[in-house]
Amino acid sequence: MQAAEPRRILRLPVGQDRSTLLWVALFLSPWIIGFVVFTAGPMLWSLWLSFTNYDVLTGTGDFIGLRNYERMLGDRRVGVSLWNTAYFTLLYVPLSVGLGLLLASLLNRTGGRLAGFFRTAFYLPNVTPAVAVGTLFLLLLNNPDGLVNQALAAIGIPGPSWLNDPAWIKNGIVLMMLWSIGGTVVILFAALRNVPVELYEAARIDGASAWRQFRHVTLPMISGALFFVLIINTVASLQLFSEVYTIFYGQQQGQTAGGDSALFYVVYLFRNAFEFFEMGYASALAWLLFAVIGLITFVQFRVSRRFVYYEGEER
Amino acid sequence: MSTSQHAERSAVPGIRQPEAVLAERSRGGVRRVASRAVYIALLAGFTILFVYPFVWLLSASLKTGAEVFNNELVPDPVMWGNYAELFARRPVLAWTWNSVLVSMLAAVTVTVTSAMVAWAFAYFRFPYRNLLFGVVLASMMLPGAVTMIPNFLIWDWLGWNNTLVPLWAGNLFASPFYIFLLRQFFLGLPRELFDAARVDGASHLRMWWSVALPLTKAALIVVFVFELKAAWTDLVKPLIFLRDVGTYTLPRGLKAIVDSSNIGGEQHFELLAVGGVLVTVPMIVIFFVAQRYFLEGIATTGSTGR
Amino acid sequence: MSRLMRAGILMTILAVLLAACGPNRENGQQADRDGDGGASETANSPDGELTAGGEIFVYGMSYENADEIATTRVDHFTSQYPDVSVTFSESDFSAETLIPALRGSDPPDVIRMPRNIAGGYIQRGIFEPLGECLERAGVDPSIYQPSAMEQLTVDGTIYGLPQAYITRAWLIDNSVFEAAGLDPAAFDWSDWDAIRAANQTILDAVESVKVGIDPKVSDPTSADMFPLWVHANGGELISEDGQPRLNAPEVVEALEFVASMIEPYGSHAAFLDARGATGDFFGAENQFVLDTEGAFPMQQTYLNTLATNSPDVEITAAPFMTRDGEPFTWADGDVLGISATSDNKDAACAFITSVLSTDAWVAAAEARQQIREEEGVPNLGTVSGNVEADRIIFSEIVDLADYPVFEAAVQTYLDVQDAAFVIPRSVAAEQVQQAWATAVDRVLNGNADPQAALDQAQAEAEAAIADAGG
Repeated sequence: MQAAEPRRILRLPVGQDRSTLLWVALFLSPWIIGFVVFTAGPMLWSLWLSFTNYDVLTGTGDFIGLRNYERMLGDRRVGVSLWNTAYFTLLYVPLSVGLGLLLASLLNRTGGRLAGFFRTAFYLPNVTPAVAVGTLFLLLLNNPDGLVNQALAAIGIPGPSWLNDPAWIKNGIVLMMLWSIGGTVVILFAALRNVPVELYEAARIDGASAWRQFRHVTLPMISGALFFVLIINTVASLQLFSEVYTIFYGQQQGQTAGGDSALFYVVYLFRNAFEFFEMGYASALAWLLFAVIGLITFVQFRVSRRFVYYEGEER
Repeated sequence: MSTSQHAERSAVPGIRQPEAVLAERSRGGVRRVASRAVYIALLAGFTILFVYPFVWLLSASLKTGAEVFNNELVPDPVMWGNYAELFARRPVLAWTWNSVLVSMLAAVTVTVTSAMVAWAFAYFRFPYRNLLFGVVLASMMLPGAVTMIPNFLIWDWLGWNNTLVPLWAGNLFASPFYIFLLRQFFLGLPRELFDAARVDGASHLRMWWSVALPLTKAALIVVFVFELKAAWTDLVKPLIFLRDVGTYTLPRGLKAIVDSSNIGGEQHFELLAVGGVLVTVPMIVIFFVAQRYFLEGIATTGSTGR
Repeated sequence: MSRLMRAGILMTILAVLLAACGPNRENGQQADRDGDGGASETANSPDGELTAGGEIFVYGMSYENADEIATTRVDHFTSQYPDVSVTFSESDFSAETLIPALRGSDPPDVIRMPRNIAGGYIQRGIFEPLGECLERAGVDPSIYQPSAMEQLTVDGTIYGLPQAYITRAWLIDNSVFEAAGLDPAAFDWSDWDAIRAANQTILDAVESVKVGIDPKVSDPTSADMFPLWVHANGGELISEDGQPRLNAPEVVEALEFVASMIEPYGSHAAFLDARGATGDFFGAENQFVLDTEGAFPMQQTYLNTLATNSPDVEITAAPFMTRDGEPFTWADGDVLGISATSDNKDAACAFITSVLSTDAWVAAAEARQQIREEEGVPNLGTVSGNVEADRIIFSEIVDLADYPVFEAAVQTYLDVQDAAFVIPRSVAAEQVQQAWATAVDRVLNGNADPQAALDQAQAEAEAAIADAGG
């Protein structure tokens, strides 16, 4: 929104005198220290670790060159966890954006206090801790006693084994994560409300159908927000951990079957680092994740240039 | 709820009426009313999908172990004792206290420090400013998994393993996303205020603390509640830093309950439900109290995300 | 030393903040150690010359929420060494809490963990050698089960003492077997074709049954009883020298067989759902009460659960058999060892030798006997891994004359316990276990054929062992 608004605060023309620079340094200091100690330093450290076989229990490790990266190539679980993560992302992201848009449109068309009420209701799952979400769905997805399969049975559909059947585990996780779609809805709803009414009126006068209004007015006007939720939902999907770990891993592991079907990439990374103590290997896994996320985000940004319309921009 | 709508920041006031308003203005009112009824029915249906699991969980937490899955809405008998039992079996009070402490410290520290840094970027002109701000933006994209292991080793090396410190102290050093968000708000403040204050001889610190911060109170609350929620719900840090059951936070404690619910000869699903309720209810209460800020914040996030 | 500088700046800031925010550290569990000393005997002095005082921290054990078997033995220790104050982590061993445990401000003096995975930790130097400790405490290690000691001894050096000795045997629902025309007492468990046929017969013939004979290999982290099946077929998952043997023909054949036991259900998921519907495994409405399951191999400790929840149940216990007709079992349990991080090794030594002593186990068994008598349910005893204690417990304390079903079952387990094998020590025990468990899981789920899955597992296990420096 800022683009349409004239900037009102202007930075003071300081910078020459030393005392002001000291003030700047003081105000910036939390971030500078934090960046060096908790971001840049760790990145370099993590990169270094990825070339070692550091064992956190003994505190020893040697430089082993690219061996961790070679090992990743031959590690079946890296492939499995990448596949699981990709499957989830490819299913969850379109569903969350599509369903989010549907709900936001319904809210927008309803309007008024009611829309506010519904929006609040939709957002409630988002304030629920991930562990609680996992615990809740551990119960809801039980077969055949859980609420989901009881509801399916009520309409004559025999529910699948969400927690045990490798073919259904990831679908169950998608279902669980879709429950927390409220954030996407709120963002898209806000974007829809900011589409100027005049544009619709003009389109209507031109005799545009509802679909054409949506396609040629709504979509371009909210493309920025759509792109934003696409990116954050993708990045979050690729890093899914807590909910899955709650249900399928930790000491809980072994109570649900399905083996590696719920082995998401960050779960595997976490287990290597903190259960098998192989922090060198886990660091190499982290850098692969970094590369993958960077690549996907880059591609999304490139593609979005063609589709995303920003206010004030010439088309 | 209407307050939250009015509070929504809007770039161009006056042209943000939703389509519904337009709809009511136009012809064919009966059809419009009918379709609005359909929308409301659909929304109500979705609301049930989103809200009923909470009701189910609350209900399950008050049932006997054998009845958890019976899908009756009202438990019979109502087992208030489940709560007493969980409190007797686990140090739930200590967990709650730890969670409160960690979330409050995390939220307060990150709000104050992010506001400091955001102010520097919004107000001052200094060498390499744009470059540094670019670094802030870039570090927002960094996946947490990359720095997780070294950060663990740093806190370990400092000797703060198995304490609550690593769960919040990282927030002493601001957070890129909040810096970004608050800077946007600071940029929207009228410059005249600060000119006047400067004429009065106010120091930079006072200008920030007494003039800028009070004017961006709403944004600060947004940051505060966001971080409160983030810290309260976090599982990863408690998982890797905490050893003793007494130092657990509520989510870590719930994970321990999930872990042991099927092991060692017990299958107490009703106690799982109690744990789920206990860790969720405080967040729901806070959400209803600060609802406006949550929803406003998340909506602003979307529009500033461009 | 920029790391030091950065840390210094950081610590200064943090210290200021911490001072302002008040203490929140040291929230650890302080077990109330003013107990009554529980056991009946007077504070007898130790056999050896060990004296101990100060504080110790025990990782992987509970006191506050523990049963009488644990609390009585801890009380025995406190009465024996009143100068030592002991606190517990109040949680079970879990790998992800071990790092904060070892590296935190208050590192453990004693560590408890499963014996099957101890090998890798011994290799990493987590455990202190016990030679001197045992000598000074006057403990003769030969009172402990030799096979358990094997898991804890490297090149003649002992790194821990066993706690509990858990064995497995078949548990059979008599009425289900009889309804299917089978004799629970005389069934031939060495004949795999007969087992497979019986599974089908039970599923076909008995209305109430959800699961016929469960081979118990469905746990995706350990594959439960899979080592039993492999051993029955003459194979071994890990050889005596700690090397994996996961794709040997005996293992492949065992996996083919257990997978065939799942086939009648259609899929592994369907089988698991059926098993989930057999009743409340740990409750009064269990599968033996409801007659929903024919038989499965199970740890002896489960008999205690049954005896408490359903003392009138009609079951038969039968030893697991090799295909040559030899009864055998598989034993595991926990280890208690002194942590290399301990700064009070004398007290740690006092703790492990005391809570694992014959007197402590006997006192615990007596305490349990008293509780069970008050509840009016049978006491089946506890197999401690201390041979001397077990002899006293089962000959002098446990009396099951009124409960012939459980008397016979307990006897079955006791008779076979000397024919137990253990999983040999391996430097990458967890990863090797994970490798075979994943192979079993993949085959059960129809994602791989046994030979391919086990070839893969063997490769993974070998890589893990090479990485661990074995």
